Amino acid sequence: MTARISPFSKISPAWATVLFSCLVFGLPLLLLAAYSLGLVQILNGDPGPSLAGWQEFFASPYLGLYMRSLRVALFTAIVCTLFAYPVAYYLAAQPEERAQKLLILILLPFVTSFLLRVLSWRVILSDFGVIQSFAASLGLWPADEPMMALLYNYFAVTIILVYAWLPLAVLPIYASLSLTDVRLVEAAVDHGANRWTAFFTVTLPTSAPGVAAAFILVFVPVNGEYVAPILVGGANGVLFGNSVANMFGEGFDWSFAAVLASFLFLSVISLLAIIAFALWIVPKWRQRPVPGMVTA
Amino acid sequence: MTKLGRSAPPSYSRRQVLHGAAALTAGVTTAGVATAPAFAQRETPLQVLEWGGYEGPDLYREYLDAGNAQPNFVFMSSDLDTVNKLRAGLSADLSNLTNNYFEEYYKNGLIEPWDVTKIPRYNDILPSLKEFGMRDGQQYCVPSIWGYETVIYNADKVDVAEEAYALLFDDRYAGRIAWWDQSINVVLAGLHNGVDDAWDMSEQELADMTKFLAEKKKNVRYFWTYFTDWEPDFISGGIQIAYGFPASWLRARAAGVNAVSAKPKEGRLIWVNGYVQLKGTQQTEKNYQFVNAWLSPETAVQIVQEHGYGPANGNVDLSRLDPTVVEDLSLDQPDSLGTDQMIMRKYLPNARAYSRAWDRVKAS
Repeated sequence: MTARISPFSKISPAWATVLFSCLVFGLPLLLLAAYSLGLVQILNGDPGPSLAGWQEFFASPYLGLYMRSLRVALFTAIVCTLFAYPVAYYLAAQPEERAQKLLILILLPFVTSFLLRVLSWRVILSDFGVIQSFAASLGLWPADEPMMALLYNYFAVTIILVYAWLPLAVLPIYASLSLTDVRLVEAAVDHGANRWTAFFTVTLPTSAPGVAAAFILVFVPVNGEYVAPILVGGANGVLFGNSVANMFGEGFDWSFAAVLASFLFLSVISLLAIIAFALWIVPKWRQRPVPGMVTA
Repeated sequence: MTKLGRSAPPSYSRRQVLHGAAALTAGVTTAGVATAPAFAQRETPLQVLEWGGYEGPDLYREYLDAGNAQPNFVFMSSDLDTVNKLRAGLSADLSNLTNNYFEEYYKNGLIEPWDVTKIPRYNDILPSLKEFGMRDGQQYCVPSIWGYETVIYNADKVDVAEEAYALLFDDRYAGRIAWWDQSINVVLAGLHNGVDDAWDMSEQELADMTKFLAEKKKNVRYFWTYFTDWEPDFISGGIQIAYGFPASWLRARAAGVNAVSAKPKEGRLIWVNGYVQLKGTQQTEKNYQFVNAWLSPETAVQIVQEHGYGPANGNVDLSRLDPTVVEDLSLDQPDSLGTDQMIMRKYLPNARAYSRAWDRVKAS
C-alpha cells in the first residue's frame, strides 16, 4: 500500500518558529507602522492616510530626545562590551567547572528584580547616600551638605544601565571565546607573533560574533529603556522610551505614539543591519588577495 | 557524540500535531469544567479603580463589616490615563475620579447615574460638592473627599516675599525643586504667567507655556509620581520647594521640618474626588454600600487625620478632627470651599493638548 503524501505532512519546528515569530512579532510591528501612516484606524478620531505624524516628529523635540537616548544606549553598550570582554576572556581560560561556578556568580544579581537593583543604587547615589556618607567620613565632603550631582541625571541612568546589563554582555562573548580554537593562537605565536598580535589577529576576530551579540544584547533594550529614567533620571534624564510610553498612556495619542515606536524600531533595525553587514564584509576584506601573495 | 546544535531537526506528522492539539484542548476544557463550581461559590469582589493610599480598610470599614469581601483595587496613575484605559476596554465597578475629569467620563458614555435614595448619607454631603457630578438632574458622581494642591516649601531654607506659584520656577532654588509629573504644570505656568484662562489656553498660549516650562525645567531635580518620591528628600533637605498635597505637609511637619503649605496669590487648587458607577457594573448593591461607607464619620476622621483632606460629609463632629487641618481647610466655616485663595480645578476641554504639551516639556 502506498501512503498518501500531503504537502503538510512534515512540519519542521524551525519553520514553525519562523512562522510564529512573523505572526506575533512581525505582524504587530507592521500594523504599528501602518497605523503611524494612518493606513489603519483603531480608535474613533484616528487620522486617515497621512505623513503628518512623521513630519511633526521631525520638527519636534522628540528627535533631539532620541539622539540623547541613542548616545546613552551606544555608550552603555560600548562600555558593557568593553568591560565584559576581559571577564569573558578570564572565564574562557578557566577549567569548565570553575568557569561555570564563576558564571553563576556573575549572573547572581538576576535573582532579584530589576526594580530592586535600581532602587538599591538610589541608596548609594542619593543626596545623603553611601557615597556622600563615605566622603563625609573621610572629611572630603561636608556631612550636612547633600551630594546632588550623583542622582537624577543621565550620569545616574547610564551607571545603572551599565550595572544592569554588564552581566548579560559577558554571556555571548564567553560562548564565542569558548569555541575559539586555541591551536590557532598557538600557531600565531609559533610564527613569531607576540601575545597582543595573536590576540588582535586571531582571538578578537574569531570572537567578533560574540562581541557583536553582546553589543546588540545591550544596545537594543537600552535604546528603548523606560524604567531606569523614571527612577533615577529626574527631570533631566528622560529617555525616548518614556515618551513612547506616555503617548500610549496619559497622552492618549496612539497614532503619534506609533510614529515614535516605529522610528525607534527602524533605528534599531538599521543599526543591526550595519552590524550584520560589518560582520559579513570584514572577514571578506581580511581574506582579500594581497598583491604579490602566492595562492594555491 | 552528537552535538545538540548539529542534530537533525525532529519532525512531526500532521496526525501527531493534531493529536497533541486535541489533547491540549481537552485538558484545558476539562480543567475549566472541574474548577467552575468552586468559582461559582466564591463571592466576586468589587472592582475599584482607585488612587494609591485609599486602599486601606479603615476608609471603608463599614462596607467590610457588612460582610462584603475586600474589594479588588486597580491603581490609577492619572485620571486621563484611566479614561483612556476604560475607552480601550478596561472594565470595573467603580472609579474614583477627580472633579475636572468628570466630563471626560460623561461624554465618553463610561458611567451610569446613581439612585441617591439608596445612599443613606447622601443628604449629608456638602451641597457645593454635588454640582459637578450632576447631569439632567441625576447624580453621576458621589463626592467622597476634597482637598487642595499647592506649593509646599521649607520656611527655614526658602526666602518667600509673597506666596505664589512663582516659587516653583524660582532660579534661586535650582536643583531643589520637585514638580508633580502631571500636565497640571501647564495650568500652573498659565496661572503664573497670567493667561486669560489657564484651563482653556489657545494653541499659541500652550506653545508659550511649553517653552516657559522647558526653560524652567533646568531648576527641577525631578518630577515626582508618588508622595514617597519626594517626601524623604524634603525632610532631609535635598528638596526645598515642591508641588504637593497637604498629607505631605503634615508628614514633613511631624518629622520636624518647618514646612509651609502655601496659599499662593493665584489660589490653591481645589479638587474633589468622587465615585462613579461604570457602565456594565453588575454589583449595584455593593456599589451603594461601598460609597455610603466612604461617607461615614469614621472615614472622615481617617481622611482628616491621615491625609489632611476634607470629608464630603458636612455633618461630621469637628471636635473629633485635627484642629490644624480644620483651620487649614476652614472646615469650621459654613462653606469652606468658598473661602479666599481657593480655586476649583476646572474641566480641561483640550486635556490631550495639555498632556502633549507636558510630554514635550519632558522631552525637551
